[in-house]
Amino acid sequence: VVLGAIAARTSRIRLRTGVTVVPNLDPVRVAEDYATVDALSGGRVELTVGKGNFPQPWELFGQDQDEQRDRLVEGVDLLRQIWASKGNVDWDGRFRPPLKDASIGPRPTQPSLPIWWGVSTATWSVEFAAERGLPIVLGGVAQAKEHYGELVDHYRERFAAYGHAASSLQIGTVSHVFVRRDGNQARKEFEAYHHNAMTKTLLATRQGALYTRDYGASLAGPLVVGSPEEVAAKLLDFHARYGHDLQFIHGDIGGQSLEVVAETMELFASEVVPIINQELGQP
Amino acid sequence: VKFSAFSLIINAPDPGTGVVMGQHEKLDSVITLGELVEELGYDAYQIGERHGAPFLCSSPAVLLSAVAMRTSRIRLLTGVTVLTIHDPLRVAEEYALLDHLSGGRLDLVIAKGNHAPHYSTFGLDPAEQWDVLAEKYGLLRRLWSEEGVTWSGKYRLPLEDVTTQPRTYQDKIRIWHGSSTSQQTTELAARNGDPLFSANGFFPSARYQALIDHYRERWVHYGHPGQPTIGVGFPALLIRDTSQEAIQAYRPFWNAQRITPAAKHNGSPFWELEEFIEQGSALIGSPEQVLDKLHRFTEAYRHQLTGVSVDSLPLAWQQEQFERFAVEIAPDLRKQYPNSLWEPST
Repeated sequence: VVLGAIAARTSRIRLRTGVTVVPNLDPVRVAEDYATVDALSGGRVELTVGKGNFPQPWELFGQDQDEQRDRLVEGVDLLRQIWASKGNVDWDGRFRPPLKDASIGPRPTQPSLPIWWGVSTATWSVEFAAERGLPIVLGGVAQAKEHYGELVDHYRERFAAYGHAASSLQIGTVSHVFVRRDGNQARKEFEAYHHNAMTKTLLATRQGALYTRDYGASLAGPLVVGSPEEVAAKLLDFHARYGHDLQFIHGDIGGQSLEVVAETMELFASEVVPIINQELGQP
Repeated sequence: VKFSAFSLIINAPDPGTGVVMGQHEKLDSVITLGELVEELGYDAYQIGERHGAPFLCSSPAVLLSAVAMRTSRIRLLTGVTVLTIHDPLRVAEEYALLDHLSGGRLDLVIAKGNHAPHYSTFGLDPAEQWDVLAEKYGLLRRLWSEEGVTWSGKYRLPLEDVTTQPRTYQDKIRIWHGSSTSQQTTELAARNGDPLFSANGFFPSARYQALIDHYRERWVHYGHPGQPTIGVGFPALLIRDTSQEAIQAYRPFWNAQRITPAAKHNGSPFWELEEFIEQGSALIGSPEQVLDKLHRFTEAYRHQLTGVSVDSLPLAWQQEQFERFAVEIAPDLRKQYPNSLWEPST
């Protein structure tokens, strides 16, 4: 619904989800909704699918958490089948009623609507993405570079082992980013938002404590907070380890006004991006 | 009366040329028609929900949110949201988002739907659909009006202390009940003091009149004050300078439509276009005829909202017909049957 609205006000940018919690949804409805946005936007949709990282959906939708992996796998495979099929769909599985010669529309405008696989902790998940040849998005925001680095190594190795061409391999990662001209000012300003997120929103609602509450440790770890030069250097450092193609900038971790977030986005676009592109030799 | 332009986004081949629009082009036209009907002074734009070809309206909340971004005044209605096949919790979330994105312009029309494929695609037993609808309606109402909802029922897993987000933008989103076949709907609407939207489709008008009469009767029975709010759809509109021209122009579309699976499921007793025009709701004729017919319907149904559809006509005709209707038909009816629907209460 939100991306449908954004599609109507933009013309160029890709419209992505992060993440679509497939285990909690009917894959047929997911196929219909995002194909509609894809058609409305002239083919700009990319889906990131995952099991989701917050416990509430499981309570709301009443599903057994132990089943989430099976639901996710079945759901994503059905979604891919619907979008790949030329005509009506026949399907039988565990978690939704079977489909018999079902007409499901509209069709996505893109011949192959990209489905990225969200990865945060589990190696089975990397294995699955590699087997299906799906691009991955690393959670990126919670753990140490080395943790994600190992997942990437595993993914590259398995991707090749399953016989997919290296040229089709794609990796994205997410970072919480906060940019100000003065790096010290950025770190000072962001501390309250970080504290708030760790104590009132993120940690308060999460089951596993993947995040550290320690601000200093976060700054040294996954957080990307500082001057344009510092932010560029840190993202380049991640890039040296992951070799990723796509960097997601999560500029709002809660409690920030639109102006506060917009300042990060503007500085990022005008000052950080040129440094990174120059360093990586991209236009 | 107030006026709504409604569509089921039927992407059927043009019977003259055999050409089918591309899906992107067709869905893009949904937005441009929304902009047009706002310009033309319609009060509402209404998108239905059907799952499967040739209909492209499987996600009305997504489509209406795009329309919301390109319009500023018109009310946004569904017609209908097939609540029986959805999780009410997702409906509460999705349409509350739309309510916010549109600045409180949403009215939801719910019903069991009238399209056979959704039973098998979503695993719904037709024998249970009325019970499913009543239960899901009750839960949707609670999720929108209460925080910390604890609920259990037959057709969904129980909920404990649930507050859906976002909350609605409007204090209370109006929920209409789509009516076409059963007194169970008119009963549900009347009992809850909700408005009714009659499909007024491909059956003789007496059927819809009887349901509207039943609704009014039950409205009084439940002791609701004043007159209930009623909307009525007119699924076929084609105005030409003379009735002969209109009938001739419409006939290929009628002949193509009456043999579709959707029409067969509908079980309409009308085979000839003339029957639909004489005994049914077709607005096909000269401006005088269409106006005269709407006067008769409005006197009989005493409804406040008239919905018109130009589905299955070529896009250029759709634009032309919405415009002719707005200019040649609507003003007279607005003047003669004023009402306060959607007007700020004083």
